[in-house]
Amino acid sequence: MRILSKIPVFVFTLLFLMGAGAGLAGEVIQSQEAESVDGIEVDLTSVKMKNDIVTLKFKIRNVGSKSQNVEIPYKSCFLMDETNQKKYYILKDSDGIFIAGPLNRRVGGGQFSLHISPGKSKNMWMKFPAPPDNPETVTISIEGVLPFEDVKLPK
Amino acid sequence: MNLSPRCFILLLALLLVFPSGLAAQETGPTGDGPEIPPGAHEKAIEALKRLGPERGAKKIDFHMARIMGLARGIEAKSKKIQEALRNLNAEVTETEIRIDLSGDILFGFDRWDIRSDAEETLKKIAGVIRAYKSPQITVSGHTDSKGPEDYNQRLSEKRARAVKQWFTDHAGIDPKTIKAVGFGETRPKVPNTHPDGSDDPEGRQKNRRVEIRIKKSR
Repeated sequence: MRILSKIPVFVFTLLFLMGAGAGLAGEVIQSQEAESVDGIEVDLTSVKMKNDIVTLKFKIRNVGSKSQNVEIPYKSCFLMDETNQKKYYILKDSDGIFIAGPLNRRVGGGQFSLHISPGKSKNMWMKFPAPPDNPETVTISIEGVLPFEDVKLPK
Repeated sequence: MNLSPRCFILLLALLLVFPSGLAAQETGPTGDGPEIPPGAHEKAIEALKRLGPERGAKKIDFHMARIMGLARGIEAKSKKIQEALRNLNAEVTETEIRIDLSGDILFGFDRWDIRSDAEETLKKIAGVIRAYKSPQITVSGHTDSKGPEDYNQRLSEKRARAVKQWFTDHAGIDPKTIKAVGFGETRPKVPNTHPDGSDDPEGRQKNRRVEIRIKKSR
């Protein structure tokens, strides 16, 4: 029973470490600056492929000193397969809404539209069709943000 | 702290369920924002089916190719890179970027291992190399005229190689694109001595340098 009495401490320590690990798991694959809004940087944090669908996650950070309103129409975002000279737009659901988030405004199929305070960040995600020609890398284009080039697609 | 077997099982169950629960659901990256809703991937699968075999591909036309080229240009001209170029006192020409670094900043006296406080400078240069997608970088080492000529030649070669190694190991620059050469004391920037033949420490300090030439991609 002496060993059993130490188990709660062990379990809570493990849970704490797992929580901390999840917090540290903020990998950044590539960062780009927003050209249209001062002090805004966009991190590409995840690229996943499943069922021929590419899921991208981003973190939009305000590294400036002023609060900024960031608007990204999802209709203007696309993924480019430069090797085969093709581009692909975000997938749309049966109502014509882009499968992306957050959907702060539904106009034009939906858009990211959030106020970001200095030092704060907001997340964004989007789902694209995987290019059928299976390129090794793609370029991700988001309106107002410098392109994310040579992004490796997982196999 | 006493623990009943029931509590132990409960905690163990929590431990097992907690990570699997996280894995089963797509979550947003660390930070403030939404998680991907559980049904989003199924909706995406349906949407993909509706698109057919071409998956909604649109041909990138000449106009788009020009925009892409423009975007690359914008990247190289971004504020961060421009600021780095200014901080590095870089000379930007039509075809290349020239950056001269003081040997005294990069290396200790008579040494060829990169000083840790010089790494920020090298990081900025690596950012410039990446932004311009440089196909060819030349790193050349130079010394002053103090000491034997062949020793200076070897020291300059070692220093150039050390900078190349740093770019390769710490910045992921392709080693095939970097050429490291040493010129010893053969190419001084300014005289090592005053006109009367006396030693010029300031001149020698300027000659102890590493020159980096970053060729722009076309």
